[in-house]
Amino acid sequence: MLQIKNLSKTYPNGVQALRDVSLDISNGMFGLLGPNGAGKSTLMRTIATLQDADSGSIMFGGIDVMKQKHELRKVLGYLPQEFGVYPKVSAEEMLHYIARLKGIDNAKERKELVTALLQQVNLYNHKSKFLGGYSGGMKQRFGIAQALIGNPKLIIVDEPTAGLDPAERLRFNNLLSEIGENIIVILSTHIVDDVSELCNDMAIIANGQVVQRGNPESLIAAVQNKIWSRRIKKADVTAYQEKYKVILSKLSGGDVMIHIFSEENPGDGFAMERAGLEDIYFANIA
Amino acid sequence: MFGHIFTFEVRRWLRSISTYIYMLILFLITFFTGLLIGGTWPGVTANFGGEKIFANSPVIIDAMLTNINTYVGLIIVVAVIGNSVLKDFTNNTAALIFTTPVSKFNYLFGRFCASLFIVLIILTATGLGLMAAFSSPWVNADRMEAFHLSYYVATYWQSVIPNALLDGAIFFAVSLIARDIFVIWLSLIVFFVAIGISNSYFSSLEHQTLSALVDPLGTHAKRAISKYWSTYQKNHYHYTMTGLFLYNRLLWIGVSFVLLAVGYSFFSFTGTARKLFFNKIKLKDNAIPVFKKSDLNRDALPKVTLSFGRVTYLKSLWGLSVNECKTLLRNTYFRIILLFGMLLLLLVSFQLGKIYDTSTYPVTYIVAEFLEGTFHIVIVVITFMFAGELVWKARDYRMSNILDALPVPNWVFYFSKMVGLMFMQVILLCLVMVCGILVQTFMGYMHYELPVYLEYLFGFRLIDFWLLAILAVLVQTLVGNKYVGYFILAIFYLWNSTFAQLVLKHNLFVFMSDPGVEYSDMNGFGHAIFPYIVFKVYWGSLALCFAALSSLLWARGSETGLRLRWRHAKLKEARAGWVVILIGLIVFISCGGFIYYNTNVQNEFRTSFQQEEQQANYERLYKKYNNIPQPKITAVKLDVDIYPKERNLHAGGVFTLKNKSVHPIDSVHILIASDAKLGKVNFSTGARLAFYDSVIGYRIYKLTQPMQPGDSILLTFNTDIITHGFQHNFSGLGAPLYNGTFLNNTSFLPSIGYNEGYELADNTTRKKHKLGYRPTSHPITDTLAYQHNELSQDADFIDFDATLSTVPDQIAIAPGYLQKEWTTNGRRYFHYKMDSPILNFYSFLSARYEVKKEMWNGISLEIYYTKGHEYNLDRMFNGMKKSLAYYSAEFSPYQHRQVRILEFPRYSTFAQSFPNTIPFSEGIGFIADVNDSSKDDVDYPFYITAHEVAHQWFAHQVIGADVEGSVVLVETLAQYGAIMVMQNEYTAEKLRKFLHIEMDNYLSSRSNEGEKEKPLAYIDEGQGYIRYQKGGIVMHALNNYLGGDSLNHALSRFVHRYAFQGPPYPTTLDLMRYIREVTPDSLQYFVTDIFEKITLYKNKVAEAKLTKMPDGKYQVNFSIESQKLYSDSTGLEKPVASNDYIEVGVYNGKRKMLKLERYKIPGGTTKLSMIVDEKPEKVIVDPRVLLIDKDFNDNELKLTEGAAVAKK
Repeated sequence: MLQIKNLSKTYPNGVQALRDVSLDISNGMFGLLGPNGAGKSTLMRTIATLQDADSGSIMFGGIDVMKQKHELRKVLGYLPQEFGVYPKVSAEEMLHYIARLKGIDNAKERKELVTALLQQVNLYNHKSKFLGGYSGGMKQRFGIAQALIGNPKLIIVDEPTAGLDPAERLRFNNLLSEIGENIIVILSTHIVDDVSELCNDMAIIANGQVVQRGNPESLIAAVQNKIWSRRIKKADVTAYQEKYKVILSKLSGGDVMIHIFSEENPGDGFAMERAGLEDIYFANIA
Repeated sequence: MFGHIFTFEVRRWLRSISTYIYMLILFLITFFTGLLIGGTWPGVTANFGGEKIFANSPVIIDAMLTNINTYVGLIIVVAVIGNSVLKDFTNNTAALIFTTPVSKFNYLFGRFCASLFIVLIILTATGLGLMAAFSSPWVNADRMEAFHLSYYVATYWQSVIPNALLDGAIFFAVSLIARDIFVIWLSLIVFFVAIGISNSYFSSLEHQTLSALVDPLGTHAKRAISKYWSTYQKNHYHYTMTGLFLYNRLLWIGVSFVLLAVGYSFFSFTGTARKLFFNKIKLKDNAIPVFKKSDLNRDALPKVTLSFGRVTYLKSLWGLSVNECKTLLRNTYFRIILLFGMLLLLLVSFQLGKIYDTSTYPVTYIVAEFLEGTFHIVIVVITFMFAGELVWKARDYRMSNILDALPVPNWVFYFSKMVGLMFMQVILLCLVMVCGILVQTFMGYMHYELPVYLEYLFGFRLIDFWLLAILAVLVQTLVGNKYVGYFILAIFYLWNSTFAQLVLKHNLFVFMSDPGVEYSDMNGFGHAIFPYIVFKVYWGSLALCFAALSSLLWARGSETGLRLRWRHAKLKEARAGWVVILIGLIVFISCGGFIYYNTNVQNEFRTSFQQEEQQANYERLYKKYNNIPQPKITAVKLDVDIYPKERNLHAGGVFTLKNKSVHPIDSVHILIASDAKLGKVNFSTGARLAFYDSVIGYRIYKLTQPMQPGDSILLTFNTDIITHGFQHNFSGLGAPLYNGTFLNNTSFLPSIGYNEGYELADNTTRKKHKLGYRPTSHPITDTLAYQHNELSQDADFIDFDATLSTVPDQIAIAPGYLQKEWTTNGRRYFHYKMDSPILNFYSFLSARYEVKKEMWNGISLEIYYTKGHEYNLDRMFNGMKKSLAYYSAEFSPYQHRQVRILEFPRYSTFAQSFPNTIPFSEGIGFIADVNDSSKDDVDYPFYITAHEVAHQWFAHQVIGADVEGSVVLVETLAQYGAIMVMQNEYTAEKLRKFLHIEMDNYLSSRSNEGEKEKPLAYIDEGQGYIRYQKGGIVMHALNNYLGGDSLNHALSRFVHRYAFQGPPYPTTLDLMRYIREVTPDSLQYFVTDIFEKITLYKNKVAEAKLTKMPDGKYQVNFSIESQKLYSDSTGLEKPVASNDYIEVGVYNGKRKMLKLERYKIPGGTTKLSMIVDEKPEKVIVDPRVLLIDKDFNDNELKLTEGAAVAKK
């Protein structure tokens, strides 16, 4: 159980990244959804011991994360949003290196583990290639492999699919979905589909605050039958925005498709739309 | 467009805070240095180029601005220009800029000109700093002359601006070609090292013109211009853009433009930063577009055991360290550095240990010291560079996001980096060692002493590098920017290696310092080892604190503010680090205490200022006793026990004192060197200690019965040298050594009466200590001073008897003949006795000697040397024989039956002549590698031997009075003797080379004269360049001009008149009288010129044409330009009318002299001709180097064929 209580963080340049965030997260894949700049990464890095919050606390089991960083690191697997690689180092060497640092000091065990991981993330054929030459998807799979070293109890995966092409993303999410049930996996993303595909618990974060919290299905159920859509001309968008609670507008064949929230049928050419997580997301960050 | 780019760039730099920081730092550096040389702190002496050169004279301003701008400014050039050019690549703005329609020319040169402009603005800070310092009220007004803006301006346009242009162009081109900041730093090292190599390679006399041209910074050209400048010129003229200097500047400005063009042509608007050494190939992966169950199964992963704890961390540390080392070895740049370093080391090895342009054998300590010395700065720079790279690597490569969240304590990261860095230093020192062995092998020297390499490089030098590495990592850990770190380190290193010692005085405050280490083949590392270790433990414990601090404050995570890290360092987890710091501090402080106890309590610590102040006090308090009647020593009988292992000496002695004055003497004044302790003192007629100054060591004994004129009494005393602990600085010969003790009587035996020799002689120093002006020597007319000789005030000629004892495996030697040798109580005794009176000047040596003896005409020639130093014994024997033969034939018989040469450790490099005893440093001659077939090599073991043997006549037979000029009777005449012996032994060619080196020495030293140059007959004791260099040249010339044996005849009569005579002692006036007696009227002017005036010539062959005559002979027509100058004591030279004898020689293609004629040539141009039988090649004016010539490079000219056949 990861308990985040009243976490706040303001950067020296005045940006308030977290405002009184509280979350309880239990085993399973937890999705943290939010737009760029919402504070997701700040939260992730804080949990991953890479920075401190100004106030509030994070408890993981009996570990006070901000005071016992070293203890948390022993059970942590972390795939950062962005990471580089040393030139002229192969995936295999790098995994060995990290495995050693994660406390596996038996060389044989280390070797077996690294081999198994490379096979599981389908990098075995490229194991002795330099990491610098990996494609985006391969690099992220390498990232997952290194995060899995050492039986972590808490895995943090920060925006792993950003920048991947659709096929790579699909393949990566397949991988993530297997990470398992008995530990906490926190996935932060700005892609709604990632969460709907993978998570059974989620929170939406915007402007440093948690704005929605729950199971994706029940969140969707709450707005089911209340989302209406209509295709309109570009020129009319402003007028509709004044008139209705527009939660989503997207281009569609040269026109604009808008979704609005309404308890009742608004008429006016709107048809009921099957609600999706996307609607929840946009409704909350708008 | 150009203008737009230019102004945009300039504005960007002017907005940047770093511009002002650079300016401020440069300003402060120069301001501080300016104050330093301006004499703000009287205790700190930093003179460049002589005491009489004003701090704000044009040469000093030029040297300061050029050097600071070149060495510190260069970092700024790289930072600014490198940044400007690479900016678009590092900031990824390349794609934006390169797709605009800006032209390549405008883009590049707009940037370049703007950044160069900014650099020049920044560099003005140095000029301002210097001006501010010199016009501040804190500088010493005596060191200043009037302010001249033109000096500063001249330096800027002659040196600073062209050099900045060149540096800029180099790094502009490199940046464009490599586009990698690392390569730029690398090229910076290459640039420095290239300058270093050219400095050492072209330092010899022959390469002077070439080096003046090829030196990119113009320093050599300036040196060539001003080498022989007088003090007056240095104070009043700045360099003019003419001759070599002009060509040099034009050449390098041209090179700058070529470099700019090369960089320009290499550049194209392609988007990505180019890597020099590898290309990335992106891997393709067969992406599967449809869902497929992934292979990932956490449960199927092999079970591993995790362990956290010390042992694991140590294992991780090991693993990480191995990894760091492997990465280093794989680093392409590092490999280049190794290759390049090797090249450098092999190249510089040609200059190994040269004396008189002649090599020494590549014995291991010389090779190790020389190569490490050369490579030192490269290792330092690379250490700084890699420290930055290592500390910032994870962040630079954005790997820190993963690594920082791993369960590894900071110290594991920290120490793995440290190990990598230290390993790198080990590799570099291995390179030095390997190159050293290669160099030795190439030179055919197979006696590799691996222990010396290992001890010197990995025992002594490595520790300093490690300390430096720890410091560098600390700095890089603390700063928020790698380049700021580099800059801080560069400044710190500069400070620490130059000014820190001057300002802070005590080694306890100078990071990494130690008392010094000097290896000697005789004495090994000797007594340097223990204090070195103590000092390194001292600094090592501080470094341990640094290490713990670095590890505590190791930047980790995404926020790396120092305040935040400090907060983390105070967490409970970090307690161990503070414990280490505490332990480190305890060791540091206790070690510091121990050092202080040794250097300041057990031994006396005095800064040079305090030392001088004590001398001043001595003069102030006791000068009143100068010239009061005191007895003189007439006989000494000594027992000297040397304890090499304890480095102690116990002596007992009996002096016979005689009242040679006409007054009764009621008290005896006794002085003793501060290192020695005077024990029991007894006068045969009874006396009591009436006065004792324990600080200065001045004692006055009141005699119970006054000594009447002619009375003699015995003075019995004990004296000791006891070595306690260690001193602040490594002291070589001052006390007994483990092997190679060399002490003379002044170092531990008492002397009688006030001794003027201990007064401060230098008048600038005197002024600093508020003492009045004092002529450096007694005037030659001071007949009172004729009463004592220049070596000792308290004795004339004495009887000498000494019994020495030492350890059984050493031989102890003093002047005199060995009477008896025996062993008692495990001590080896030697009794020496001299059979004729000697000067009160004698030595004591003890070492493990090998002995080689030869008999020559009834004289025993002996060399006492260290095993392994057999190389030049035959040359020394030859030198002894040839010189004994020459001097006894030409001057007077040799007074002893024995000549002994005794090797002593290289802590000092001189040879010195005592009666029948010549201590000779191992550093000059024993390991010389003279190649007789080379036209360049000077056989200096032979020459030094000849010089020292000559002192058996000139010093030990005839000694001058204690007045100005007297050193001529000792040194100049000995030098003359040596040159004559050499002239008989070697070719004219070699002698000419030797005389040229001597002439160059004389001319450049006189240009650095601190007091005033005096004519030969009146010189001061300190003016070595006159008594040796000028003296030797002019006496050799005089011999040639007078011809035959006239001069030797005069000298012989002079020696016979004055040998072994007591007072009054002779002076140069007497010498000149004897010389003038044999000089014809037509050459009296020459005697006057060399002895009584400072005479210089500017002789030149202006034109030389060759004509073949019908009879097969050759006519040589040439014109000589001649000018004679007299210089005053400040170096102001005035041409004078002349009509002097000057020789002209004609040489063939094999440098053989065909004909030598002596002409009387007036000032101005004179046309002359000569007829020779063989085809000549060149004409040389004054080929035998008889006249002091201000520019002897124009003394020869190749003949050109005449147009028509001359008919008579």
